[in-house]
Amino acid sequence: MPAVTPETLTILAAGLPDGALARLRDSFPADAGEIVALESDDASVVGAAIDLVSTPLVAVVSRPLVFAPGAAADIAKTFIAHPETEVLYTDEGFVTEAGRSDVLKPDPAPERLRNQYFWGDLVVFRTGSLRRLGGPREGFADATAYDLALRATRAGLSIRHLATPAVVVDAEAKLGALDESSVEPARRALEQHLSATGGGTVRSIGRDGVHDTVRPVQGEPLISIVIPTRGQYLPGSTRSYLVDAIESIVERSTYGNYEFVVVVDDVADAGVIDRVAELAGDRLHLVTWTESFNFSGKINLGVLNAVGEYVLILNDDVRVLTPDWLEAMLALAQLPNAGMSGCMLYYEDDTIQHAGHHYWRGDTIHVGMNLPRGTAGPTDGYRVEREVVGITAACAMMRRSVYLEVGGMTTLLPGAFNDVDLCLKVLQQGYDILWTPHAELYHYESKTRDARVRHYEVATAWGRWEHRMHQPGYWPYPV
Amino acid sequence: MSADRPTPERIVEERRVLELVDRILGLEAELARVSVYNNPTREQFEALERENEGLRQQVAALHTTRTWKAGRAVLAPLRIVSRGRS
Repeated sequence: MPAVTPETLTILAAGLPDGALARLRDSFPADAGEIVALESDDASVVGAAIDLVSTPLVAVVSRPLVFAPGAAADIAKTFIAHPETEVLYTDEGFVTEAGRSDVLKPDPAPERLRNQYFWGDLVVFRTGSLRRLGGPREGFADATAYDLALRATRAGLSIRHLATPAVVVDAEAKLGALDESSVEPARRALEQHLSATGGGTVRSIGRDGVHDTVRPVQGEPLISIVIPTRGQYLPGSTRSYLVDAIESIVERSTYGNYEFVVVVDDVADAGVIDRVAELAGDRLHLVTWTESFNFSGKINLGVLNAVGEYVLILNDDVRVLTPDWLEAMLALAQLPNAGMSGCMLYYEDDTIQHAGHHYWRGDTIHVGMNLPRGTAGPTDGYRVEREVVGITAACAMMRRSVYLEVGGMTTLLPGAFNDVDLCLKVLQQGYDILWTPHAELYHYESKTRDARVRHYEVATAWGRWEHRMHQPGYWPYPV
Repeated sequence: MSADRPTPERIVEERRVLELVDRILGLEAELARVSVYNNPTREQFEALERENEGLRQQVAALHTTRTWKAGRAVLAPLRIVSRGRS
């Protein structure tokens, strides 16, 4: 029996086969705590065992896994270093013929959690916290851990991610995959969770662990779609990206309450403006830009002219694919602590242009860039609504009040990185940024503007934010 | 929709405020970066703090102008409606 210290861990090995139990025992250091074998993973059996646990930390293990060398100590050290922690999950490794691979997980992300159980097979609780939560509930089959994670999240427990592959599982399994009998329990767990956290709809449960749940749109607030544009025909053509964009929005969008605030250069072609006026009707508010090029300045002017409660910053070279794109983005922008919401953008050749920003080791990139449309991404990240560190200003929605609170887009960055700066200001003010794959648009990136990056823009953006240019929390995957 | 549209004069003032707020947040970020990487001297740190304080005072001064107050008074009902929704 190990000495009980503040970080001693009891593993409740629930219904593991003998071989798996033996391997688990072999991997678990004697001084880290103890392993208690339970005959089944039935919630009542596990619940009774939790009541008997005498150590401060407890974890229920119901799938074969082994601890990586040093992992038990790392877990204990994390609880010591962060004494407020009540729940801890870790990265995982798995063994293939080619060697060991790791499954890197995001930091706690409540909105992502409602679409995917990503905590995995080892979740360590403070014993008292797990008891107060009520332990595992009966009737949730393979979704028991998911249900527990959702309840821990909405109960406001202090949840921490240990970004170390602390355990090794037998084989690669999709995170949160469910057997057929667990589909309805998972749906029930999610419906209860959504109902208790602001509402929402479970549109589908995926046995592969990816679920489609959406938040509701509250009311029908006015959205001001702010589009900066030169307002010209393409060279040698009677085609205009702006006209195409407005046309696709008017024709495809199912959301009714929006206006266009088009900030147009004074060199615009009259034919383009006439056609836009014809398409947009009384939704259109035109603002003329007479100064030298400054994307940020044009957006600021547009937002200041906007009267919507929400603003959608939109490039003029986009085309809407999903009719409910505004609803999908608005539902996220309306969440209580939301600062911004972004969408999925594709290049014309059906490769991904943007699935969120990634700030990695001093660089900024678009998640998913140049991968084929339909790619799932690491841990299915391109398929789920999730928290992100940033989104592109090619298509970004936010409360107008938040935009003003952070000083809008900086005019010090007229062309590049102004969206990175805006996102980092929004995060700095304590807001969340969210991204949805359910709002999809084509984006003919940089075909309508000079996409070169100037040295002073790098100096300005990094001068402000160099210390925030590595944020792997929500997207831990190397570039 | 156009009834609530801010006047050109108000937009000029709001643009100024927007840029000042941006500069303040930018300087705060820069201060944090300098603290993280450069171990600044007290003089450097205080110079940035002074610049930041000057910008804050400019924002405060703008908030006392007649145009700003008139605009706030006109928009007050909208703000109340907006708060009620959120």
